[in-house]
Amino acid sequence: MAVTDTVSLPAARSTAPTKGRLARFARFVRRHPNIAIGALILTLIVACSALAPLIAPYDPDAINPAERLKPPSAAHLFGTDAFGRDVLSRVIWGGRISLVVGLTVALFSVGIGLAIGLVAGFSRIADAVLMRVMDAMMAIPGILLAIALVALTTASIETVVFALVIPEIPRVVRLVRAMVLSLREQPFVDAARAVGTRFHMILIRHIMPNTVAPLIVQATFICAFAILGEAYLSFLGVGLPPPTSTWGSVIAEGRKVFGLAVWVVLFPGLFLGFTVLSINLIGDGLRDILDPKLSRRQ
Amino acid sequence: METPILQIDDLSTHFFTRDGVVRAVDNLTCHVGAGEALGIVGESGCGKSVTSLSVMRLVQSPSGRIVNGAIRLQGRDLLALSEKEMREIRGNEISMIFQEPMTSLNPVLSIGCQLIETIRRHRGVSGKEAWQRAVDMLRLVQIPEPDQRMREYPHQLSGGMRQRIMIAMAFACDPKVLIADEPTTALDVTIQAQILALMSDLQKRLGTAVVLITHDLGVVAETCQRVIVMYAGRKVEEADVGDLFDRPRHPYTKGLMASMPHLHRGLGNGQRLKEIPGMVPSLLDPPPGCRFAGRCAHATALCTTEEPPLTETGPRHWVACWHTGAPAEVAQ
Amino acid sequence: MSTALLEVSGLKKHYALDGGLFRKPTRTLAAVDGVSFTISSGETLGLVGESGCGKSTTAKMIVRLTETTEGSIRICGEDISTLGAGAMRHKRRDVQIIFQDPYSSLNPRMRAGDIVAEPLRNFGIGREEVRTRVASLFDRVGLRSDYVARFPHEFSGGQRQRLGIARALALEPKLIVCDEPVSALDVSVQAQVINLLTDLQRELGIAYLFVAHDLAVVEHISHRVAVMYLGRIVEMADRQTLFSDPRHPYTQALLAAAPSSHPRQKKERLLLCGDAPSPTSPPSGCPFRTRCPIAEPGCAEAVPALRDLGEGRQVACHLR
Repeated sequence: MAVTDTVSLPAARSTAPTKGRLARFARFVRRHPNIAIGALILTLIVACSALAPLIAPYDPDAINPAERLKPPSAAHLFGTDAFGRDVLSRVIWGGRISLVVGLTVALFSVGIGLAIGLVAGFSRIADAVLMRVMDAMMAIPGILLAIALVALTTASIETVVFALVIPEIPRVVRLVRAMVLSLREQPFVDAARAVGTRFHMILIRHIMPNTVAPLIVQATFICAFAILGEAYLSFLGVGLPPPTSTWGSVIAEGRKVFGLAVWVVLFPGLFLGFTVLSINLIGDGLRDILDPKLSRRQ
Repeated sequence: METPILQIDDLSTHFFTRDGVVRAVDNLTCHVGAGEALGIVGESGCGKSVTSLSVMRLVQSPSGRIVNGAIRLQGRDLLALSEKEMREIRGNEISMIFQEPMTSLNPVLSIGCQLIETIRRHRGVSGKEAWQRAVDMLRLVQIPEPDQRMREYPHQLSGGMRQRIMIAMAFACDPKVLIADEPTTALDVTIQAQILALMSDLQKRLGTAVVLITHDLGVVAETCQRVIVMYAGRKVEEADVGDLFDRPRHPYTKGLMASMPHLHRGLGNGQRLKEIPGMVPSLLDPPPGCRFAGRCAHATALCTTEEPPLTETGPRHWVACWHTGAPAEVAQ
Repeated sequence: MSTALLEVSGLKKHYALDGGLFRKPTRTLAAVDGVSFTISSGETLGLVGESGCGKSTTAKMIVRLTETTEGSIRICGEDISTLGAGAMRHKRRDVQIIFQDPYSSLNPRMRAGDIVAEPLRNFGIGREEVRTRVASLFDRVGLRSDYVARFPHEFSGGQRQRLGIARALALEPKLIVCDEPVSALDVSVQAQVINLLTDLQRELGIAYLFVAHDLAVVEHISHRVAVMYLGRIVEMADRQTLFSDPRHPYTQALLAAAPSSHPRQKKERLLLCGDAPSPTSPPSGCPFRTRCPIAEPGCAEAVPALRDLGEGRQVACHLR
């Protein structure tokens, strides 16, 4: 209290003069090494996936029986799988699906969760109803939902995204609702009412911007979780149908030959792990930056 | 002069942050004698709270560190003690009360339980004796129905009552020094008056040395014999309380006194208070020279380059200012 | 006398306790229990009392941030306590509020200029005019106008409070409710803000309802003072009258409890015993009788009414 008071004193002064962009960048990297590392890894992985048609050495789905289960070599950096397909190409292409699923799931769950959370935070009646619905939704295991959906419809990227979004929504709703409930009691919201700000403007100008920071952090974690989730689903065979390659499906196929060709599982596993790790690093870093209480203590 | 109970020499406590070194306390020297009440006054960020935490060796590490100085309790340097030895001293020989009594009490333990724990930890007495001592302490701080209160929990008591409990706890082991950090700031005026009266009374009866840290000159006038005025981590003035109020020498002290509205001073609406322009400088790379120079009406080139030394301008009256030669005026 | 700028009569705020969606509340908490006063234009009424006496609730009801349970709040003769949202929005131009905490009363994600511009934009003032008026408001409260692009955390406590004042001034109100505007500030900064408020009053003729617990500050800034205890006004008088000759025993105790400004003036003071009773179970009769040094058995029987004692003084005590 008293101590942080004293230490936070410099916060009142203006930001130190910056010596050009490079110096500012170096300072940022020094202060937030985890974001820098996470961003570096993620950029590399995203770039690989985005440029898949240019950099993948082979057609990811081209079967070549002569080249079955070859260990990593100059021709096949990551080796080949049971059908002779190039694992490197499959991993590069597979990243596209994984990353798209992660991003879409994060966007949808945060968007829908934010809308429901705002309503729940402002209306007592809606709150009572919505939160019970959310409790029910939280009780649905994502994997079971996906299996049921695939059984009912055809496996597609939409089904996978849907199955992963549903269990995430209640989590976001709870977060948003809790933030709205505390924000609407803040004096600056009272101040806005006192100067005649209309309700919708209070929502847009005062409530929503203050929920953004924690939501961005939450979104990174949802994204990482969805990438893993998609891998689980593909691994269990309820994801996208073959021959579409995703990291999960490459691992699932490699499982059968694990004893003979560990590389088929290892490399997509490493990509998956590093992606999730990098996103989590960024999320942690952002939380430190965006939480005013933590950043003030620096 | 007899040796003081608590002697602080050249204390510097700095906080090492990513932005640089915050010099929260810079070369502070002061002492308190037995049965004396010393007031440390200053505004937020002047280093008064960090001083008290330094004495208790409770400065938050790793960022905060006592970089220089000595703190002697009856001649024993506290900075040389091990953490274990220090634990023996805290709450036993030096006690502390804080501004917010609610956060200093454990909400899930009863009052009695917390009092008894403190007493037993330092006294090594039986549970029954500790209970008796705790009840006596509650009676000492004038809490009605002490036996009943022993079984109650902090949230069942009012703010004033909780502060009384904290005082009881602080006095439970007959400390030699009591450090009170803004003990009445969170309380209402009528309750504040009760608590200050209680503290003065206990201090006189038990002969404890008290260090009272506050931003309120009125509280100091009410309870202390000697005052230190701190500004931006440094001691700028030290004097006996009557002397300080009659003849403040440092421009900051004068400014502080003049900027406070006083009761019954007849300064009506429409009349302006004297303000101190500007604000406290950042303790991160503070300007050279006198730290008050930027807000001082009498500042000269010397003030912005050389740090003024503490000089004795009257009996037991020290001031750190280059321009105390001017005849002292009584603060309006 | 001309109609007062603000006329509050019989104002009450009761909160239901232990209630729930399906449960009937069993107890009520009377935070404000029948408060009446008036403020003329250009005048400052100080409202003092200890925590929990209902002074802040009263302040919030006057700007309709808290709904009233009973009573009326007339601004220039019009009762705003029952106005609909649209009509109230327009009435807000007349009454503004300054908050206690300069930190939480400013949206951390808005720039200083936007914070001060918000009230202007709410009432459809054009972009160019908003810009010039914000610049002159910044100037008026003593902030450099190139600070408009800064965020609140880049300001000190005193500067933030100036921003809050600029925001309240933007709509050129007739009355500003100041809810403990200086109690969170350091002493030297407190004087700056108090001076700013008195300057503004002299130049613009704004009336203040000044809510505070610091008696010295209230004595300095007010023309008239009302003392609250447990949701009621116990004494109201001109500043001079009230501070030089307090009549209600609570006012006397409050003045006696204030720390002296000089060690030699240490007074043998009459200390009130105990704490204020909880507003959920106030004592019968006079709310102050449990701590009153002169209470008599009769005090428990009826709540004393606020009676006029002449010289513009009103006291709610059976014995005075």
